[in-house]
Amino acid sequence: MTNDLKFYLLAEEGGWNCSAYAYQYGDKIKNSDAYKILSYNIIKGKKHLSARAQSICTAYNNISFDTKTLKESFILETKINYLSLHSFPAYYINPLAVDPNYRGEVTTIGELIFDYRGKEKTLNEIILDNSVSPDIKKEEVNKKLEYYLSDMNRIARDSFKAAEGGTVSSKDTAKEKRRTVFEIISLSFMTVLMITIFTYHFPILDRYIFFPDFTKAMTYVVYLFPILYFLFAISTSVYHSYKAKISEPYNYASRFLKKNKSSIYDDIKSGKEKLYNYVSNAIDNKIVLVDDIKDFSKLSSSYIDFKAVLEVDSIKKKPTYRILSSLNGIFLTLSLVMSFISLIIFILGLAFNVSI
Amino acid sequence: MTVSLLLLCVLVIFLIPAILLPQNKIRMYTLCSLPPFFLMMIIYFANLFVGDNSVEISIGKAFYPVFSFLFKTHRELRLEEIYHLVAYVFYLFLYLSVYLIGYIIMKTFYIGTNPNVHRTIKAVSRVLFTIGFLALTFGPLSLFIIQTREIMPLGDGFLATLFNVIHRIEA
Repeated sequence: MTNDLKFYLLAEEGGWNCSAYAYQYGDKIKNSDAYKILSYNIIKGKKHLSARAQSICTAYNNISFDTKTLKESFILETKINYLSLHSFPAYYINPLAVDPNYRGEVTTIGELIFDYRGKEKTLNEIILDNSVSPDIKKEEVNKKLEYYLSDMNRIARDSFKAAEGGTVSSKDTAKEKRRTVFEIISLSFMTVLMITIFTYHFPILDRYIFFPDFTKAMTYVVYLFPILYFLFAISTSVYHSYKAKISEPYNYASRFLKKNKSSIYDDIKSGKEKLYNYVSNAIDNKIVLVDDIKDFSKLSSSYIDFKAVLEVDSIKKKPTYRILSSLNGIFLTLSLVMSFISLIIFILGLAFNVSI
Repeated sequence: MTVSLLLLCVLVIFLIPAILLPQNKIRMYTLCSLPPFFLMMIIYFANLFVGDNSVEISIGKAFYPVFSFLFKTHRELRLEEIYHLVAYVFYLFLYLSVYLIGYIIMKTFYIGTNPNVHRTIKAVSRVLFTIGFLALTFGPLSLFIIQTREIMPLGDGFLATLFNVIHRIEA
């Protein structure tokens, strides 16, 4: 806090209107090193699922530089300084929820920041601290480990909700199901019609297969309808296969959860116990921790990949999925329209035994 | 358009899911199609083993009242040929029915493996299941198309020799 700000803040408290200075100060905060560091760190923070990383990202998104008083400017500056400091991975990484593909600056659990006797210290500093007995250190460290456990359980719960259709996308899921049912009915109808047209012995129609006459509607029945049907079948095949591929973590999780929900929580808990034993051993023997940040991750356990489950919805918003979905819809509509036209032409031709 | 080209088009439709579908799905569909495939193969080879198409004709005779309406417009067909066609329509019906039963069972009990755990063995099994999926789904369907091609207003095309080995159509 600069002396200028202190002066104007005092003046504002005394009843002076200092809003002009407040506006100026907003720009200064925006150009400050703290805000630049925060903006840089937030890009990495968004990739992490831990509650702390998410809360910093939310706070960053809610920052408003539209301050009307110097008091607000002061609060904003303090907030940005705090967020900037806590936007470093050492503050928010949860070793139980770290991405197995993480290759960031934090390489060991020993670099993570712990609240320790009213101060913020790295775990390695706590391990090497000679002023406190190991039991007290373990107790202090265990509080943070319990927090890590609850944070990982929250991620698991969010994944369960997503897999059980309890997310905001449940409406989309119902819509997708209705669409799939409609596609199955349409495909069945068109297949039956196709088989009927091509196997029903109707010489007038059969003639146009070998001698197409493009002035006759029946030629389009035997050529355009099969082509559109084939394109629809291809687009359906690609769309549903791709959808199944990107939704597999979610689909697998829902199948798995029907019977094994408790074993997942047990697995996370045992992971936390292993982490506690590991840290306790380091405290007892004063071992500096190195290169172990991903060793206790439960994000992609052998049971469920929680991150992948939570990412399914966002993948469905990407262009590839949307293009395939649109193409499928277009070919469904075209082939369905053509199938009805073909049915009418076929019935009329058959009824009057003439070529149309 | 020929039956050969039709089979190629159908192959493309089956090839896409065989390549794109996730491992668990492809395994599930392959396992679902195993029982109907073997059932069909048993009947098919029993017919070859007994000789004179007697198994096929017996099945054709038995299910003639059920499926014969499909071939009423084909007055050029001999009764033996209709039995043959009825038998293959029954095979298709049997295949789909057993497949659906298998699908319901698998849908209820099958869980699969975590798709995000990558092992070398998975890549090998993936290739095997892809080939298996094609063989167990496209295989029976193509056999059905070849065996019933005489009621289609299409020529045999470039695979005519192969078709005639599987099922010769008498002029």
